Amino acid sequence: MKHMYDQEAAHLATFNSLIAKHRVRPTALYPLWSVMATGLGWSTAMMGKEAAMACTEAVETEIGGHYNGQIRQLVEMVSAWEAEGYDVGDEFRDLIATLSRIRDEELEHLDHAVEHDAKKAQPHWLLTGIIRAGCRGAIWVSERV
Amino acid sequence: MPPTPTGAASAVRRISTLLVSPLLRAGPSSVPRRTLTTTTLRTSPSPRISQIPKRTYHSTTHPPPPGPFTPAELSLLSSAYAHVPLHGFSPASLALGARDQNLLDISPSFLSSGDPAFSLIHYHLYNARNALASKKDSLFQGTEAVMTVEEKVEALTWARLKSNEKVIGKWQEALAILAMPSYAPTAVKELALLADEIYHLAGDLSVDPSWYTKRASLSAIYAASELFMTTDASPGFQETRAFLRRRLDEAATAGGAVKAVGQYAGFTASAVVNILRSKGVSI
Repeated sequence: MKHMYDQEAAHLATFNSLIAKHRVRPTALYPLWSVMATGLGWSTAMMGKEAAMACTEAVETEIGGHYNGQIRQLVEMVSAWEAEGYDVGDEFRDLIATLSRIRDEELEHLDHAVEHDAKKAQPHWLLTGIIRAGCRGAIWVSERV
Repeated sequence: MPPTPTGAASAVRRISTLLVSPLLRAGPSSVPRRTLTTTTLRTSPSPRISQIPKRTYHSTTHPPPPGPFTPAELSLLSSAYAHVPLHGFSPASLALGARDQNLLDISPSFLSSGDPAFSLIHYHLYNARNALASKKDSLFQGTEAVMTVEEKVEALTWARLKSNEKVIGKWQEALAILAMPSYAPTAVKELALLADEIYHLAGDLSVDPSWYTKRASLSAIYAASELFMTTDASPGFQETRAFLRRRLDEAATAGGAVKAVGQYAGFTASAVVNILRSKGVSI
C-alpha cells in the first residue's frame, strides 16, 4: 500500500511539473475533481476492503486505457514526423517514455487490486461500472474545460 | 512574391504541414488541395482529438508558432512605431513608417487586422510582452534563486509598465481604441497572455486553482496600474510604482486569507475524523 501511495505521489508530481513546464492551462474543475476523488476513496473504503479494491480496479482500468490512447496518439504523430524526415527531438520521446512507464505502474496497481479480492465486492459489476463511467466522464470534461 | 519565411516561422510551418500530411494522404482524392485552410492545418490526424478544443503546448526545444504578424507586417510596423511618440497610434505614423521603408503610403491598408491604428497598438502589446523574456536576466541579476515569486512578478510587471514609457502620452487614446467592442477580445487576450508570461518568467509552478486566480488578479492590477500611469506626472513614475506595489500587497493579503480558510477547514475535518475514531466509529 505504501509502495502504491509513493508511486501515485510521484505520478502527481511528474505531471504537475510537466503541466508547468509546457505551460498548459490546468483544468478549471480541479477543486471539483479533488472533492469527488476524496469522496470516492472514502466511501468505497467505508464499504469495505473489497469495495476499495474494486474501486482501484475500475479507476486503473480507465486510466490505463486513457494513457494508451495518449501514447498511441503521440506515437502516430512522432512516426509521421519521422517518416517526413523531421527531427522530433528528445522532448517527445521522453514524454512517451514517461507515459509508458507510468501506465505500466498503474497497471501494476490494477493487478494488485485484482489479487486482493477486488472481484469479491458485491455487486462488482455495478460498482466498477459506475466508477468507470465516472472516470470516463471526468476525463472527457477535463479535456474540454 | 511572398516574403520567404525564415528561421522559426518556417520550421513551425513545416511542423504544421507534417501534421496535416497524413490527412492529405487519407482524404479522398477528389478533394482539391486548396481547401486546406488554417483551421485544417491545425487539425491533428485523429478525429477523436480534433473534436477537442485546442489547448496550447509550450515546447522548450521547438520554435514557437508564428505571432499575429507576418515578417513584412513586422518590418512596416516597427518602422511606423518609431513615429508613435510624436504622431500617436495613427495612420499618420504608419504612412511615415511606410515612407521610411521606401514603400507606398497606401501599404498600411494591407495590414491583416483591417485597422492600421489598431495593428500598431497590437504590435506594441505583442512586442512589449515578448521583450520581457530577454529583460528577465538583467532584471533579476543573478538573484533569481533568492527572490520570491511575488518579488519577481512585481519586477516583471514594473518592467512591462516601463515599456509604455515612450508612448505614454498617446497611451490613453490607445486604451480607448482597445476598449472598443470589436478590439476588446484581442485586448483581453493580450492581457491574459501577458499575465501568463509574467507568471511563467517568475517561475511560478502552481497548477491548482490558484493558476486562475493569480492570473486574473494580476491582469486586473496591471490594467489599473496602466491607466494610473497615463495620468502620473511624478518623476520616474514613482507614484505608479507605489500604486502597483499597494495593489499587489492587497492581492497577496486576500490570497493569504483564502489559503488560511482552506487550511482551517482541512484541519477541522481531520480533527472531526479523529474524534469519531476515538469514539469507536470505524472510519
